[in-house]
Amino acid sequence: MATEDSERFDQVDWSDFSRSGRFDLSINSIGMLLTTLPLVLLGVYDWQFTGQRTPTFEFIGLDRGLETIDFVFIFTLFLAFWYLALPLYQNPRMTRYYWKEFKRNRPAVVSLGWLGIVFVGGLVGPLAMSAPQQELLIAYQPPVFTSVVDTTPATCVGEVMNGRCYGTWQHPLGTTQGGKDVFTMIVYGMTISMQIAFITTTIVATIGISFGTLSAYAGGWIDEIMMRFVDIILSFPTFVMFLLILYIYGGGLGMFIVVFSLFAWGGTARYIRSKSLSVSEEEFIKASRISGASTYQVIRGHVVPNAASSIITNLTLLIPGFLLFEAQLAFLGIGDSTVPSWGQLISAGRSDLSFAPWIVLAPGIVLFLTILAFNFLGDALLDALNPEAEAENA
Amino acid sequence: MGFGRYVGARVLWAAVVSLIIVTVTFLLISASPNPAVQRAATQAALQGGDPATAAERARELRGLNEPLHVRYFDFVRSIYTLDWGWSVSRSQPVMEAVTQALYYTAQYSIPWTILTVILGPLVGVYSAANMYSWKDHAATGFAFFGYAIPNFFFGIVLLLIFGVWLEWIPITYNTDVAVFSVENAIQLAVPVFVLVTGSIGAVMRVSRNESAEFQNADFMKTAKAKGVSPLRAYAYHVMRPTLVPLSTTLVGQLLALFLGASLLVEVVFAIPGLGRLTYEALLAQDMSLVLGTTLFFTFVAVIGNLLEDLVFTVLDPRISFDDR
Amino acid sequence: MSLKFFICPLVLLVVLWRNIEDRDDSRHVGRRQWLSALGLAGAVTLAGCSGNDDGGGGGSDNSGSGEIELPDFPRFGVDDLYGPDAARTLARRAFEQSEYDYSFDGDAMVTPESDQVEIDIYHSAGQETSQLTADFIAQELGQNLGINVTVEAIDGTRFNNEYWTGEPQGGTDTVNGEEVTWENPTPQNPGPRSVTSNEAWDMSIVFGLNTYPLNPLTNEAFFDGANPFYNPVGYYPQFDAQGLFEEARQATSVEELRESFVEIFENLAYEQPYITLLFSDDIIGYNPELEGPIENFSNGWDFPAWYEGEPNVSGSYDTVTSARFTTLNPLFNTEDGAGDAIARALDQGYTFDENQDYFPLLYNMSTEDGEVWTFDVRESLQFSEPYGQVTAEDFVYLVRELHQADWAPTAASSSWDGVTVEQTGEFQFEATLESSNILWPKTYDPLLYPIPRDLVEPYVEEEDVEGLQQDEELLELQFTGNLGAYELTAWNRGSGTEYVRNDEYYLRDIDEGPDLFSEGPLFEEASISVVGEQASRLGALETGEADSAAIPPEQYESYDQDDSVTVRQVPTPYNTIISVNQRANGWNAGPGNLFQLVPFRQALAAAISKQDLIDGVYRGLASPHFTWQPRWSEFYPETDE
Repeated sequence: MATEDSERFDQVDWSDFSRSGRFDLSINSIGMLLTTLPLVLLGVYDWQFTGQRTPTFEFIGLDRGLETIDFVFIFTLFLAFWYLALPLYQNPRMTRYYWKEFKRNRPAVVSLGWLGIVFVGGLVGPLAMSAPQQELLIAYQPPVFTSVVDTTPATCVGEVMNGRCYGTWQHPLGTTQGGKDVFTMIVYGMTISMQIAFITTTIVATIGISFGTLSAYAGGWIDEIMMRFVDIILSFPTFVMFLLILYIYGGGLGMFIVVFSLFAWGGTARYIRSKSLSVSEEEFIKASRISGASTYQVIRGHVVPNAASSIITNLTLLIPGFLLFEAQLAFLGIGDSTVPSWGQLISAGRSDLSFAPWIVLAPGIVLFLTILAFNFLGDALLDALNPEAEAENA
Repeated sequence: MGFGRYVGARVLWAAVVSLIIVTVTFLLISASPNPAVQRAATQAALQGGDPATAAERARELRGLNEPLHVRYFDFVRSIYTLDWGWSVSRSQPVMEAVTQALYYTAQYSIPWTILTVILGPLVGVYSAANMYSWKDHAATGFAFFGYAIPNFFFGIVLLLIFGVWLEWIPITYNTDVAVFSVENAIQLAVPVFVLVTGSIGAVMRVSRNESAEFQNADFMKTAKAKGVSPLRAYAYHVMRPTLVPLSTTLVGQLLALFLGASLLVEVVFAIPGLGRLTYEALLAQDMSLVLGTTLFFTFVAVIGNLLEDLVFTVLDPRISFDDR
Repeated sequence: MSLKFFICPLVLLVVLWRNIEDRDDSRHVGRRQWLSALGLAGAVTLAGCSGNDDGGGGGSDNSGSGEIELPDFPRFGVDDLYGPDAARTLARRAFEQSEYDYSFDGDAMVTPESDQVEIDIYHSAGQETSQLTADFIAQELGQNLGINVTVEAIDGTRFNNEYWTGEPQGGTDTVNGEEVTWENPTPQNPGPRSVTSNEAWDMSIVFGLNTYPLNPLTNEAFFDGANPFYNPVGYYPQFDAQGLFEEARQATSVEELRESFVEIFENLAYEQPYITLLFSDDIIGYNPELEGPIENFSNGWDFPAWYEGEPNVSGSYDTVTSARFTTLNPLFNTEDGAGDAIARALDQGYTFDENQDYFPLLYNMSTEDGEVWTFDVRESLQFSEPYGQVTAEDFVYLVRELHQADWAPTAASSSWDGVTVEQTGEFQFEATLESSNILWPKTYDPLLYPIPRDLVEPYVEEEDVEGLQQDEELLELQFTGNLGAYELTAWNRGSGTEYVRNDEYYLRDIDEGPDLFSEGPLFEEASISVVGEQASRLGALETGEADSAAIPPEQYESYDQDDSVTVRQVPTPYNTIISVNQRANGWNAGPGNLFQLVPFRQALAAAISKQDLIDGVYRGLASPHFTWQPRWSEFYPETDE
């Protein structure tokens, strides 16, 4: 094969054949750079050249603005596309195999569908629908196909029969106490959930993977120190710390994401470290070390891809935790109340539960389904990507 | 290294970690303005006194005049001697506030922990034994349902159904009731149920996955060939290695849930426990109480991690201390 | 678009210049503003600079909107004084007065740098009504004044500490051409406008203020000049507030008081130091078997006479509240909720009955000239062992050594400033005020708790504030003897208080009051439970676990129709207002501070529809608020109905 030119195994110059040299970029990376560059430019433009109140896209005439968090979100979307989605396309055989394994778990397939809806809804929704407006007179409208005692809403959009106000398709999930359409708010909430999911995961993944793999690979006292550091991070009573920080210094969604991901990477790092340790013991790692691969090449080329499946499942299982956490904080009243997340909706509607239950039930059920979907997904990924755990029953 | 020395090293490490967290908390809090000082200024002004001098005196009284390191040492010393100060927002010593709240928290968290620890692995192993059958799906579904549904959401819905509509449970928590009475059990039933359904899912899933690995291991086939009854095979041969990784997640999960979930459940069901204590202390900017509860949770977390590590090493004979 | 940038300012300059020359100085201030605004708007329209003149009368509005004449008692936010036209006209008057070049660019109000004006408004976190009101205000200001308002939620305590109050510094400033010195700066009025709180803020609806309907003279704490006790927003009155209040203080009868107040209230309605919105009644749901609650400002004054079903001693009176009690120490408590909890076990000096007349509990107050007041203490009052009988000495010691002492930050400190107290008999003492005040009891200043001298003496000698605050007998109300309807049996910090009937209650033996007092109280037990969740409180009311609970406005109708609950509307003196920050850290939208200008505050008031707010958020269960008194007060300027 390729060893025709040299006589001995250890004389082969591997960088001739592999593309994992330090400065060779794969298609994925090139694509990433190409798309990120305009994003960064747009970001700088928005930051420096437009006034604080002017929407970002005004130069093309669109009245839409992008916040910092939106920029970061788009960045993580690009990351996900170029490094997760595209490799799937580039390795069709593996993808087909994974998909076959994955399909066996039917709830997981349904979950994937639901998450797809949430994802698309989150991206497209705010562009298609305008932000929910407060209109006190149409507060407490019931959802379509249901009715409520007509003293509850101030005025009724639908018809009033037998002292009950009926719901309409104008507000398929009813309205809140402020008169905002619940369906629109849920769609906007999808964006928030997606932002939380993607951004926190990216930060946690980056820090966790670097820490974990490096620690596992380096071994010795570097490993000790790093793991002790992780211990400290893990020992912080995160929830309390978070309450403390957020309460004293105030903060919005961005603050929440940053602080939370800073505390949450500990578990991931530990998990990745243990997986990398087991991978590092494998023969092929030793083989590549013997043939002269550098630490970076080994980690990037061998350790990470092999631990990748565990990393992905671990991360997928973190996301519902983040969503739940955000909802909890919203319920306590500490979250950012201007952000239309599902947690905020539940929190706002909880005192009206006995007579206007849809305000709490709609976002609650949607949140529940999303968390459930992520869990099913993670579980199925675990089964599909981890052949060791496969049972013989099937 | 030997087991004894290993334990010693871990305990020492736990103490170091707690010290670090205490320091960070102290720094965080000293960086924010002290409301007590401001109150003193207010009062002085109300009487036509000089608020600046009053603020100075207040600082003096609370020792806020001292340089940072002196305050820090005083602070550390008072923490470890359990003299945690006076809570202004509750008008009682902080230790008393924490112990009172702990009393109520324990009433629901102990049954919760026991139920989770017992039921979780059992359901998990059962599910793994019948993998991909409808029993598995049902159990998994139930566990997932409990895990996915936000505790507070579940709590308010159940409270509405069982408290307001059916009137089976009281809506507000009655602190008068004797701890071991039927009444107490009734009013704690729903909070404990909500918490257990929340935590059991994670435990069950991990134990299912871990024991799945062992279901098909060679030693299981050997046991079957030997004629060991399935029950003994599961209980002894599967559970033991399952418990190893399970214990790590168990402790970790329980701790995390303990802090977060307990606060929300307490808010929804009006139980005057530790979570609410912390939260209300924060809102009232009662710094000594906030410190007290944060430290309490820190100690719980540190000790929890310590236990997790020790349990891990005890249960898994494959791990030798020299490697760590 | 770019052409407009050049032409419009030129036109504006020309028009302004011409108007300045045309101004007729003999007219009233208001009229002058009105004329120049008209000319300006007209010329600008001609040059096509006014942006979108959409239907609904863009152009015609501009020229017709100048017709605003403000009566003496203007009612902003309703009828003619509401709407985009009224608001913008008033805003334009403010622009004239301001040294900075604010203007309307089409629909939006813009700063001199042509950015849209953006300000924020704070509301109480976690309170639905507060949030809905803030959202509504933001919407109205956006539509009617073209201001972009950001709504922020904040916790009340935090807002108070960081935004509302500041470090008292004092200072001097010129108000209406006169030098004013802040001699006694307080955290709520730390100095002139240059002295601010830690954090910047623009508007807030977090706090409503008391309008003191029983004795409006108490409002001098807010409006007596620029340096009164309580002025967090930095309001400088443009009318002669100090003169008018002085006149009011000289009044020797209620009639005279009423007369002098008419002018004060008219001016307050005109200048809108706080943008007045509405008065909302408290809506309280009661157990339908309960006899005693009345829809009156003094609801609850005769609490020992309340009973359930039959007027005999039975059952338990349980209430739920949302806020915890910080302390039950009567000397230091400042919270209403805790005040109620203390009141169950310990009476204060006096109260007011359903006709708002003085009703003596512990002592009877009388006076001849309004300056020297005689307190006659009842002889049947006993503390618990070992403190013995309540005498005048206890009260005098309390006032002199605690309330008037420098070192003790008691809650009632400010009430006894400048009052000389002297014991004149075993059960009598006298208080001499600095100036006559015939309505002194109605200011609640002379309201005292009975505290045994022997209990506090050791702390007084050491000047030990912390000891006094932490004293267990004071905290757990263990000294109350026969002074309260109930005895406090337990205070569980997290969940509330519990009481048991006091058989020795002194009120049973007094002559005054309704007959049932002789058997009171008519419950065996009582309790107050702290429940944070509103749904739980209402649920407890429905199932009968609680005998009373507050009901939010949107649920009024459904509870009104509910047989298991009786709903009563109880008037309160607290108003709902928008506080606009006139200090140096207010108006963060651009240079200057438009809030300091009266026409701008009027514009804000005119931009918000009070009736829509009442209908939308309060379901009609509130009344619009124009001046600093509720409509049912005897001091409300009735002539302008």
